[in-house]
Amino acid sequence: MVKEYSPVKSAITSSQVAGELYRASMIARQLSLAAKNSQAIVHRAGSRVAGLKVISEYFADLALKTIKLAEAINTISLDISHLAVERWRQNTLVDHLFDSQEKTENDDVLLIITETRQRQEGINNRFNIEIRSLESQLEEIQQYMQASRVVAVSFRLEATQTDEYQGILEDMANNIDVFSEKIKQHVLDAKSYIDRLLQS
Amino acid sequence: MEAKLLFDDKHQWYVFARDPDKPEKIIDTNQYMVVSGKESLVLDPGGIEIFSAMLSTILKFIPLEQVTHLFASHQDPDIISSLGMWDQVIPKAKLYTPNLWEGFIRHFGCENIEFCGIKDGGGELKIGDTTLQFIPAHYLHSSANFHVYDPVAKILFSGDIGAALEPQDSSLFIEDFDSHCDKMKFFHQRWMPSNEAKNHWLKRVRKLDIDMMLPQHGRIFRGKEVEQFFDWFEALNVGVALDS
Repeated sequence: MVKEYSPVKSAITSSQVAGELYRASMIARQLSLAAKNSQAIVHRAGSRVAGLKVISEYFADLALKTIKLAEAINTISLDISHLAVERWRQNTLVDHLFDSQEKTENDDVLLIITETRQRQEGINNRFNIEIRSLESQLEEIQQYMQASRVVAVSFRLEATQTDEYQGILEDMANNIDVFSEKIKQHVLDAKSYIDRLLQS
Repeated sequence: MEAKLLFDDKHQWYVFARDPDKPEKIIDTNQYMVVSGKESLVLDPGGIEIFSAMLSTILKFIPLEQVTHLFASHQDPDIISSLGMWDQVIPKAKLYTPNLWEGFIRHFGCENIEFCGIKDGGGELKIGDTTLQFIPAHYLHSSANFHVYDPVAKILFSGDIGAALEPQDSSLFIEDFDSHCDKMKFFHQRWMPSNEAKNHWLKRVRKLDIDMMLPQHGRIFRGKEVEQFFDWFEALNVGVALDS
């Protein structure tokens, strides 16, 4: 038997997750800008920061992936929210049908209840699959942010070996750190909303 | 669903509209939200079909506990048929809506939310530090109907007045007033029943200082377009079905 979570809580949770991921995707755009800046610096500095060329390319790729993933999670959350509301409406319908059945003891109503129950089950299964997929995508974006912080460490290390670009590289490392941390926080908040739902 | 910040000072006005996932045959609606301090007012929160999109969009900007007030200009389903869902999600909220419609609106489900009926003469509501005015717009088109005016932001939420029937992907703002009139004409002539009510409303709102007029369907009016609309509406003969 697939677990059935409260449709009201499910609708709220998926909307909260969508909200967190919307904010995360806004910050991911700033992260992407930082990545483009880092590529420009590497290009300008040439051989003096040669060690950063590969890492800045990796960082640019990572930033783009983060934006795409955050937006994809936002879309999944919206789909889940629609499913939760649909389940909510079906539940309300079943409640009313049971009331009607009690009053009339009509076989036709019983048949509609059975059919509605089947639809409910289908929606519930889809909901459970989607929420698990959401969880794994949140894990993935968290891993991206860990990788992003490794990038920041590399920038700091490289900064110690250059004079002219030291300040810029340190600022860049700090920006990457701040953006990654903020995104991570939104992802953690989103995960905690899901955890609370799954534990309910 | 598209979301845009319309006014941003000590308090904010947002518009939420053009939901791409909305079922095709239901009319497109504009929803608005005023946020001030720890409170907010959602104006004409919309029908049940757009509830999930609305909830998700609102939560992009404020947490759920900050959704404290709802306003329904009148009783139509595209305005407030989502009430039964909001009632479960924000049970401690208050709903401000025409007093006359209480027994009707409660059919959408209102067991938890506090029903606050607005008397025919209108009134005021404080959201955080912002005071909003309920402007009577009776018989336009609903027999008990209110608009909302914000004297600080100089914004008038005008419900069905100023509405236009347009494709889903149209702009949120008017680009050319003259060509926009064609899209508003049928709506106002057929849905608005009374020239007397129209002139009464015009007399009232022409006294207000308005920078932006926000209808529940169609596009937003800015600057001189507001006055242009008043002149256009004044010249328009409404209640035309009586002649058919």
